[in-house]
Amino acid sequence: MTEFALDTSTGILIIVLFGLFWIGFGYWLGRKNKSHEDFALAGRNVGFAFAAATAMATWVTSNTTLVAPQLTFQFGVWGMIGYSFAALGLILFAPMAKRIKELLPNGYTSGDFIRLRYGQFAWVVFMIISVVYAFGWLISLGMAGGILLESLTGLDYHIGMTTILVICVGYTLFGGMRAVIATDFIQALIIIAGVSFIAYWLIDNIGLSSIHENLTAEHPKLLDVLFPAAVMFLFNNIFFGLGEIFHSNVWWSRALSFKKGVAYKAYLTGGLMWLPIPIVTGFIALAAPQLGIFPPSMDMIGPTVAAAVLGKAGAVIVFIVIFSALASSLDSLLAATSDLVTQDIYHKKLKPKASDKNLMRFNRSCIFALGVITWLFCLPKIATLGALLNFAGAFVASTIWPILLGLYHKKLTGTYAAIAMAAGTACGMIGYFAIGFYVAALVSCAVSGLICAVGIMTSQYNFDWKQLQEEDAHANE
Amino acid sequence: MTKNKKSFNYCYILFLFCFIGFLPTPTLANESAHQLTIEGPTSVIKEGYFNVSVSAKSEQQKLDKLTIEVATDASFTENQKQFPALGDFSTISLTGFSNGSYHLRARAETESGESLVSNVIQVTVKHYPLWQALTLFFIGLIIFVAVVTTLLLLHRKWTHSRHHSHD
Repeated sequence: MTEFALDTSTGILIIVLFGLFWIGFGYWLGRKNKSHEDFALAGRNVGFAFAAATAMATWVTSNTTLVAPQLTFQFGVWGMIGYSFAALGLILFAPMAKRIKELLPNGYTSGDFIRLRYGQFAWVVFMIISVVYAFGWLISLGMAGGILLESLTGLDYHIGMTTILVICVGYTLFGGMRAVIATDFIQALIIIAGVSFIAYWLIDNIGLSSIHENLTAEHPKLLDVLFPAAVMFLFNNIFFGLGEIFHSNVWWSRALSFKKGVAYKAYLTGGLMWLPIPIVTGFIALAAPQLGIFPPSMDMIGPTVAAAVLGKAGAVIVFIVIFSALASSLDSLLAATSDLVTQDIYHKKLKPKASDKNLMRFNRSCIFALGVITWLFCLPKIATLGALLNFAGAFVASTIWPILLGLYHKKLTGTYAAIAMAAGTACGMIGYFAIGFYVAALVSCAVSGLICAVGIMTSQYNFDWKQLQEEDAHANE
Repeated sequence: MTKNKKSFNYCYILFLFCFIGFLPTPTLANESAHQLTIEGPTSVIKEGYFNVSVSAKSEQQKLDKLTIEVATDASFTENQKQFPALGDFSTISLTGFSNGSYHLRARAETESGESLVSNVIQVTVKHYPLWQALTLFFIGLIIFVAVVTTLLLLHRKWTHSRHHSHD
């Protein structure tokens, strides 16, 4: 049997030390927050270096470090190449980020935009999609923490999962967006250095030719470029990535927090920097058969292989890299989701006259509540990471066309946008259960696009962009 | 009944008992050979990957050196491969299988070194037809090109109108 790379006590020690460091750092950064705008959008003053780093680091998530290897283990070379195409989400968001900053100079959230551009009905549909996606991602991140520790040390999944959530909720509570972006910068450096080191070690210790020989003899399908399920998965993954980024307040809040003129370059650079990372992490999985590593769950393949190759010191590196990836995404998602709830629901609907202090307090309570709810959902390990995330693909891919057209085209009305999102989601879910997870996002995007096209062709309506700059205005049909 | 006939009957009965006594006892043999149980997918696999689980007859039994053997024939002589389990886990993920029918069984050792073998299961792999995959691929490509083209055209139109309004 293949043994665990780290003993349990070492794993716990690393995570406690890391946790104390991050929480202390978050507390120190949080002292600069004087207003809710400071807490939620880092004062709208983030420069290019931090902006590019946060874009890249936030997109390096449990997906990149655990799901990319999982998909490579399942689908072979197409798994990792297809996964790297999710960089297109960041790259294509670059021009949109510029447009968003121009249209909503005082905006806070993606929900703000949908409400002002399309009205209440579309906003409700959008919020449902956002919440489902946010929880899907939060749960996957929480689960990934548990899986990481279990893969490397054999520690019970529930302990690892709980610890990761406590640490990330802790430093996000103290520091807000400032802590999120600053820690992202450090985590980005750790991720780039760590992943490059692991890839180099792998090639140096095992060698490409022996990996190739083993796969050809024992698992030929993993090298097959015409692997049917992998070919089907490719564009589904791209639309999932586009939908995630186009709709999620994680990315909108960043675009709004960057300095003027920075967003376009930051997202483009972040996307290009991110592109090779899933190829490297996915490549790690191809070495598994050669090493005789066959985990109980395919989402454990990445850390177990890296640790097996690199030994105990390497296992520590793997742990730090993956923990950084998890933390950099979990904090962003907690902050952005909490912003969405605070601004769109609490401030706009329940307490329009809430003071800055009240908003900050509510925002912090939200972060805490999100952490607790996520923990409860993570307790039963309901599915593999890949399957869980692709469930959300049916939801988010339906927002691609409404968001894109909503930013640039005057003719699409709120009713058609809402129907496009709802119908796209419903059809995507039918595809998910009837055919497989690899068609959900594709079907969702296709249906949503068709409805938007009909909406534009039949529309007599012209939206006035100035309405986006009036805080209480609603789009009229 | 004559004496000869009685002797014949006794011999016959004795022979019958001997015959029954020397019959192989398949139930007992199976019990000792299948102190492990392997379970796997029951439906056809369309992606070439699946999980199998192994359990010991006694829940307290600790298994060591758990390995899954895979072959294309039931007697495990053709294309035989072996896949070791990770750590103490008794579930194993297997991947990269081409179309075909595979026979799987588990082997393990007890703490005292006794060798255990499981029952044999059959897993059938039949990938999605390539025409279906390529159809979805090209549909996806068309939609993707539409998204990118729409974005770039609309963005260019906006930046041009901005420049003109500044002029």
